[in-house]
Amino acid sequence: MKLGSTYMKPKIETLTIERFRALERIELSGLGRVTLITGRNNTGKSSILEALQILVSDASPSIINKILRFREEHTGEIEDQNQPANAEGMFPWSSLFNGFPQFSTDIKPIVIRSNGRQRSLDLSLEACWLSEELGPDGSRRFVSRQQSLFEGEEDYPALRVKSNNIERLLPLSRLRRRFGYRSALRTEVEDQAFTCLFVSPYGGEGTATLGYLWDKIALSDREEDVVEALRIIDDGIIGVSMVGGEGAHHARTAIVRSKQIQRPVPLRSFGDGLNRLFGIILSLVNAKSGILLVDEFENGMHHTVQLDAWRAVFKLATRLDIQVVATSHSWDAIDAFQKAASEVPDEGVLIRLTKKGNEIIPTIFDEKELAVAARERIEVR
Amino acid sequence: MSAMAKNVLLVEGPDDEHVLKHVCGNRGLPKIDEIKPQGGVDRLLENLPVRLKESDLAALGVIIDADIKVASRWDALRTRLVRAGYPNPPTVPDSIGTVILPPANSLLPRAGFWIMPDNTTPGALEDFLQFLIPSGSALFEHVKSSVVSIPEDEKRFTPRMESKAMVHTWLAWQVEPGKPLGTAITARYLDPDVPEVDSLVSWLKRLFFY
Repeated sequence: MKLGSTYMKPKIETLTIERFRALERIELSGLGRVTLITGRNNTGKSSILEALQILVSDASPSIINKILRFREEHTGEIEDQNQPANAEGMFPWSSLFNGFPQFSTDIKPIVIRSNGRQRSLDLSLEACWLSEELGPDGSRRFVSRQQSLFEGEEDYPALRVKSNNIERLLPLSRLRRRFGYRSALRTEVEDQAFTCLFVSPYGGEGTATLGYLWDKIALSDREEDVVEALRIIDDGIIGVSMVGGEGAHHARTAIVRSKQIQRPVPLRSFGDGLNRLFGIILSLVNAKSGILLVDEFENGMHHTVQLDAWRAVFKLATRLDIQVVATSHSWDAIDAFQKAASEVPDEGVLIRLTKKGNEIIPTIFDEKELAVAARERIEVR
Repeated sequence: MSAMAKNVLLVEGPDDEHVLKHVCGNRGLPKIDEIKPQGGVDRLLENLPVRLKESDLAALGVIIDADIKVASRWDALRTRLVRAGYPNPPTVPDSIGTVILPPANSLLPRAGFWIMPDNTTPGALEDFLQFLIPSGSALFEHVKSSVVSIPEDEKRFTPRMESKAMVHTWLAWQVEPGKPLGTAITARYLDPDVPEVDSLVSWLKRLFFY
């Protein structure tokens, strides 16, 4: 750490994940202000971003169902209530657990923990059975049932969420509620200890749902930050806004004012790169004092603009006190990240995930080591 | 990332690189994928921890000068090994060259260390090369006495550089004067068929070609 720099410890410095998805156990220590996770396919890059969302949201059902929908996985939404499993033996959220287990109290719990500047977070998720109990006032409530007691019709399969030792019981039937995308987004921005926003690989949010994020920063200094970042790709851009959206089903559209064109034109018409950057930067400025997660950072972005895109991310992350965790498997993106990281002290960390047998092993390069690797042309990918 | 894991040898400078290449060539060793001069001992020590994290590395060798003290040089290396995740490197280097196996379930390479000249005495590459000069050579006796008898006020090198001055003087007085260190081995001005080279070669074999 250099004296005089504005360095602050990141919110999450150490992350431990156990039995989540394909990750049997992994510990990442020394996460930076901006961390890039790289590795071949199926090394669990995206799973780490998912685990972070689940941890920060205290296993919010709307966030988890959003994660599963993104992966087009079975969420169990709108199905037979109170059945532990559907015809394929899957229960809601089964795919989160290591090895896709059938519902059973023998399933070993998912554990996700973090340490850092923020208070440490500690979350576990396990299967359990509930009984319904009548309270003295006649109200009904769920209570955890010992496995040894008789199994009757009043038993309900559930998940027990322990978050920093506070216990919550989620009957599977409740996980089947449908949550709208907006509900998950509100959770990300408003309902958590700190904001934790996720940008998906395909920009699946679309310019329509970005309207919510736009409204939160429109006409503020952060709007200017967004415009400035868009100039990385097209320096003729002088303004951006989002229009439309009257009524529940009308989509919002991002429009752009450019020196070259008289009338505002849809952002979409400027190509994938600008759309991608708009999604990332708009999410970034909304994550002030929080965390931004970007899956497959470089998607849609030409390699010639990636260095400036990373520079913008580093600059804004420092200024707005945001921790950024991104993934990539592209050589160009990693090169650009290394270069941008070397320009700012103490901020960038690269994590390579390697699969060895059934284990996924992280290799962590801090800022100083990244500079050595760049100078010596040491292969970090 | 390539599918084949590679062998990499780190050395201090280009002299070490050329000597090693010619020793390997003369002894018929398979090719070491990369022999990389690091630009001095400090750079080598700075780069080592990052080199150990390089992807797809089978074995990483290090050839480094002991200079003044073998023990302190080894401590500098050993500290970096422990930090990188080798659980229990030996507290003293092996006199026949050290080879350390990576812990199970890690991505770390086999790691090998040769501390010039012979893992036990202080010195540098040129002290090792003196082993390659025929013992009892009357010419080398003349070289040594000439170098040590340079008048003090004309001696431009520090005492630590004396052995380097002797080796280069030896090469200056051959049939074809002034051959560089590496080609001097192939030209047999420096004879690679000596026990000290056997020892270095068998360390390379144990590390890379076991």
